[in-house]
Amino acid sequence: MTSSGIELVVRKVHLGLVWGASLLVPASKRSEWLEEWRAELWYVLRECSSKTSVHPRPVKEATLFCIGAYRDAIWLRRRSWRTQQPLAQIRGSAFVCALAQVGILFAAWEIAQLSPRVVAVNEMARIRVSRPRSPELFPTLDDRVRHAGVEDQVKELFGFPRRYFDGFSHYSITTDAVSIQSMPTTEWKIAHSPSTFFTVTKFPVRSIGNAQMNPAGLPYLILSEKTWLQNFGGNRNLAGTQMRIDSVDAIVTGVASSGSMSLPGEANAWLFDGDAQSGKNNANFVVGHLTAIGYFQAGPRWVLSVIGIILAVLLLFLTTHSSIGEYGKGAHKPSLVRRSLFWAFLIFKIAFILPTVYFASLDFGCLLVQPFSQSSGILQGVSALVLCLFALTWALRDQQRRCPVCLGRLSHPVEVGQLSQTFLAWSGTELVCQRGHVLLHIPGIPTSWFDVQRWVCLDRSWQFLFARLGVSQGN
Amino acid sequence: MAKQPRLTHVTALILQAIDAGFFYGFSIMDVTGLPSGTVYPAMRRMEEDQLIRSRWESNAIAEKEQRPPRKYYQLTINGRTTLGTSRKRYPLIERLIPAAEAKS
Repeated sequence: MTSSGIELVVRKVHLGLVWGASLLVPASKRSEWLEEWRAELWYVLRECSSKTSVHPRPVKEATLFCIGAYRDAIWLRRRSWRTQQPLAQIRGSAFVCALAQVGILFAAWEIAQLSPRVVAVNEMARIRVSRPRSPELFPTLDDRVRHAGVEDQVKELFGFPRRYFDGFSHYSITTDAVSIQSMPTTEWKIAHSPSTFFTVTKFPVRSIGNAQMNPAGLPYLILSEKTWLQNFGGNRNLAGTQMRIDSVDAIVTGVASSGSMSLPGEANAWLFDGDAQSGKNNANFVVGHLTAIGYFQAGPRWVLSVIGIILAVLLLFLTTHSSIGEYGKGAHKPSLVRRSLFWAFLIFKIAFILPTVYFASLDFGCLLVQPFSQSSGILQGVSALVLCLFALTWALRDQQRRCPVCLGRLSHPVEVGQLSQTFLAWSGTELVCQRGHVLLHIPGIPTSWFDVQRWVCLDRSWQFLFARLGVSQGN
Repeated sequence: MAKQPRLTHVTALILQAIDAGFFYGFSIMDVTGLPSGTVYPAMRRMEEDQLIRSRWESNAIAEKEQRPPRKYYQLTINGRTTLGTSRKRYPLIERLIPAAEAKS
């Protein structure tokens, strides 16, 4: 590479450094700042590459010059933060705090609504199974029969929580030639299924005669109600009749009630021969049986979060001794309305914290582990406890640092005195309301005469100090 | 009550440098020996405190000499007063940075 080529690269690298620093500069000042630093860099690089100079400067000097640009940019950025006084006031206002809380609650609720796992938990919580599993064959309201397609949907069935999943079976529908002694051969749609189909689906069968008559151990055949009525005129003594389906002999044992026909694929009869083969030309179905049992008998899911919240409140009550604050004896206090608003704001925060903690703990309990497992319940309870502890502590601390007049955050903390150098003099931290309503004194060491933080309301004589900020004395 | 500018050693050096005829950032850096990360923020602060003011060189002059325009700094009345105070506080400062003409 030629020397001019190297110079070009060096120049571009340094310009890149300066450009990078410009990103830290507030947008309103960026272009002028960049122009100044580019111009200055041009002169620095000229000094570095000067061929006429006796002692040309090393390139390192130009690099150090560019690194200094970052310090300048950071200084400008900090300066802009400090001068954005109204923005700081807005950030610390009660409105923004309330808005943030509503936003967090909405986010926790929205996650709970969008997650299928949490939705499933909430749905089951509404079912509230209070009796043992029904011994009837078919359907109580608590039972769910899930219909599905073939193999690819088996995975979906297995994905369901085990407490709901009793098992699955399958059947395939084929068109077969059926012959009975007294009737001509006809073609029926026969649903072939294994014998487990009975146990899984609790297939409802109406008895039509003596169903025990099967001395040869032939496969069972169950007719659909429609076929039974149309082809056999509702003959109530049909049980035990032998039929030939293609090359297989079967024995009629009963009639499927019309309710069972909600299963997909219309069939004239159900043959339990264990020959349910899936094939391209057959209609194949997988049936899973899901029952809501067991888990929710102990109570709905929100109980776990409520236990966590109650524990958190108890822990906080037992371990926290700090007061929200007091006014000196005989000192000027804000009006009763202002003081009521101050406490109402604390109640508002707590009122929003509780549902937020509930939804957030539900999200944790359902999204991080399997929603119906034991660890899910534990995680929900523990997260409710921890979140509630954290949130309530924040609510109290935030309230302690708020102005009782305007509810804005107090700022500009100042250390007064040094504990190691004072004996009887007061030492601690002093904060001020940005609008000039109050000073807050927090003792460094609680004493018998000053044990909790104390507000000192500022009268109108202080107003000139805050006039630039448009203060209105509201107390 | 008017805000009193901080009279640090850096402030005194920069005021002296500008008064001595070093009017732009790089030359001030060069003569004071301070790094760019100190000189430029200090000059911005001094401009906010109205000790110095800046102006961009006209484009025509810069183009004529085939170089980018520079940002020049000069002392304000407040700056001169502060410089007087700083000279009393740092008596050797004038000898550290003599006037540009005198140096050449």
